[in-house]
Amino acid sequence: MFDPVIIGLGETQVGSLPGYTQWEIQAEAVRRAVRDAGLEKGDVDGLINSPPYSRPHQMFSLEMSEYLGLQPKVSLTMDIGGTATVLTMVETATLLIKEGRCNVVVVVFGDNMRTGRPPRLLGNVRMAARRGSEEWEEPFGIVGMVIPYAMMANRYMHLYGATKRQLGAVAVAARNNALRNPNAQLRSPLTMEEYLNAPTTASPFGRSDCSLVSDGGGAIVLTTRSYAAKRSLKQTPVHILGCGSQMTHKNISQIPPEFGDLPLKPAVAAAYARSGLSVKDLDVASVHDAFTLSTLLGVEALGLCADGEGGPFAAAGHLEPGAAVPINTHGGLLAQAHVGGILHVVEVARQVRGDAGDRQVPDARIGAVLGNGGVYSVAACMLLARG
Amino acid sequence: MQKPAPEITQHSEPFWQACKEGRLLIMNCRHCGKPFFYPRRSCPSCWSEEVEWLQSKGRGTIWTLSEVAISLWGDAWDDAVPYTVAVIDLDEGVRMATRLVGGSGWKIGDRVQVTFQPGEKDVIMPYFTAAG
Repeated sequence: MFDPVIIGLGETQVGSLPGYTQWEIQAEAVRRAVRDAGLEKGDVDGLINSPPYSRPHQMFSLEMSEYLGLQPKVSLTMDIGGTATVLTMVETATLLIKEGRCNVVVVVFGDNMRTGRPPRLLGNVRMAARRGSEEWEEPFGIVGMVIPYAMMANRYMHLYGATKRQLGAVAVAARNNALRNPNAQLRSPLTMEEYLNAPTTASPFGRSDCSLVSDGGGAIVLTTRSYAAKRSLKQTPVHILGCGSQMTHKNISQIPPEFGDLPLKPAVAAAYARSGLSVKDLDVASVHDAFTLSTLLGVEALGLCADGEGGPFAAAGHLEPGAAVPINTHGGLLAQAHVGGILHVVEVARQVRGDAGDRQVPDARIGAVLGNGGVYSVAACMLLARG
Repeated sequence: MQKPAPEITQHSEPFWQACKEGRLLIMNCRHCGKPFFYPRRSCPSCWSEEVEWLQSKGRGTIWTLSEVAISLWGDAWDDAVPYTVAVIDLDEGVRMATRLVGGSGWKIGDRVQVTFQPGEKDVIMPYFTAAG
């Protein structure tokens, strides 16, 4: 009776949205998602959002609910880290629904990192989450997110013999996937030569190893199967078959001893165990890809290839459109937009309900979303299926 | 933009004072005997508050590194690039993030030792260089 399902998806335009505030972007995503579901404003009795990175807020879910004229029973702001935040927001919505606390919960994230940051923060992506780094990392020059991930990429290449060309295969595939997405920030192909010849930002990374700085938002509407049955909904419901998450650390200096100790695999294992599924069941997946390395770790953690084999897997074309299990069919954080990962969930839900337009994966019924936050500090995984 | 100076707390102050004296401190738990870094008022292994400063020999191995080619925090590092940052496994069994100085062509696995240099706002920074 309280079986939670995703019944509405909202996605705003991404890229540059000058003049739009963070709450205006989130509000637009919410309105689109509720309309997509065939519901009305008055149906919403739960709202969960994530605060913008561009300007840290307090009480952001109250700001959001008030702006939208909502008075939900539950209004929550959550912040765990990166794409793991969004997945944990969706999982929390399912728990509220299973408990009977809410009938219709909207999960939303939106931000304007591209055009909305205060002038003193322009030109770089600086996090408000700094405990541990303001004393033990930033003064040494380990600032922002690119440098810690670049260090992880060098360690990965050292351990497994991965090559720059293999990282490049991730960047090239992301751009090829984005070519099929009309709502993508980058809609031009990238050649391997362009990738290899690009200047280094922090070794081994160049610009195309790093995700986009974007404005945009997305929202997801959840309800129970019984509520969905009572209303004439517009969309095929998407079931949430299992979730898992794991945290290990925050700062790179506190990272567990080696790659095998990172939280990605435990999060995936928990989601598989709770759903009774395995990698063989996947038709489509989205994995965290704020940096090219992340896609390799993501496909390894899902079990699409062995540990350390992500590089050869990418170079063999398994991330390109039309792969056996297509990955980040929307272009992901690298080529569609970096909107915190909410569009990773929106995309997989859209794929499994059969609504992905020109980039629809044929007969996709089961999909995985794998999120990461911090510096492989926290991971969350969710398995979705057509209703 | 300015490069950031460490935001020193009452508890961590002895670490930075020791850097001025050319000594690298880590922390040790008197209850479970495990060393740890960065400094905390309680042991992250057993939560004991019986923690003490321990002088490190200042030697370790590069776990990973990156050569930073452009300033990634406004223009704060324009005068410093290229510079190399690293995560070091100290011989005492703790990991710390730092910057490598006085050399080039660093590789993962290289042996390094601490060296002290002025940072921002009169703070002395524990950087690392090739082990002698």
